[in-house]
Amino acid sequence: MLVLTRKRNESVRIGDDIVVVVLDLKDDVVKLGIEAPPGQKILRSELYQAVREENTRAARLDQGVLEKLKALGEKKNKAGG
Amino acid sequence: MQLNTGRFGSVEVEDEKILTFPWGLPGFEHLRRFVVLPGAGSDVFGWLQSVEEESTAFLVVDPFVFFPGYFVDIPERETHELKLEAPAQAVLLVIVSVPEGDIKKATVNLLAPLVINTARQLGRQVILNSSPFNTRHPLFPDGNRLVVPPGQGEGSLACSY
Repeated sequence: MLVLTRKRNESVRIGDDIVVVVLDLKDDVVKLGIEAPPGQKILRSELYQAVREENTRAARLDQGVLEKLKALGEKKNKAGG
Repeated sequence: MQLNTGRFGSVEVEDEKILTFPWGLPGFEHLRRFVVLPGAGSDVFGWLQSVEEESTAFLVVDPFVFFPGYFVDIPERETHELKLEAPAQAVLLVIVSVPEGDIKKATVNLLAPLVINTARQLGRQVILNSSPFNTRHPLFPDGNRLVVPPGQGEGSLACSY
């Protein structure tokens, strides 16, 4: 990993069209400004991590849930809905 | 083709029903081909079954049935990647988690819907950047009642170009 030290208002260029600026530093919080082409996906890493964890959790579905869903569906049908 | 699945045994799947997820799903980047199988007993649910790994399937649901006010604006990048020419080409599904096999505790991931271009059989899980939704919305907030609001809601789906 490339490690750079930057001060307030200093920036880093990534490739030809991405600029990351350090806008503010306070306690242990860094405020970053990112200039990038509109199509570029920029995500807070924890969002990606949350989706990854949720997918892994969802894939571990108990086989018994199939039967419970069937039962729910039948209940719904009986209720005329 | 005949598809062997871990949960549903062997099922016949038409080749043109196979969806390509060119980027996989977060956590499942190695899986690129899926089919949507009808749900068990209930027409509200479906299964996103991996073609490549028979043990992997996700319970999915149409978000607008349970969350009539749900709204998604597919970002420009994903609109292009999915080759979406109009929002009507897109089908939206969200993944259901059922902790400890207790259906009453089921939650859905409204932060990252599956967007499928039905015209091209292309899919992607889209992580919404500025969305009020999260990965765990309770599906049955009032317990175990399967409440399906009459008709489809006011939910909206838009694409940015």
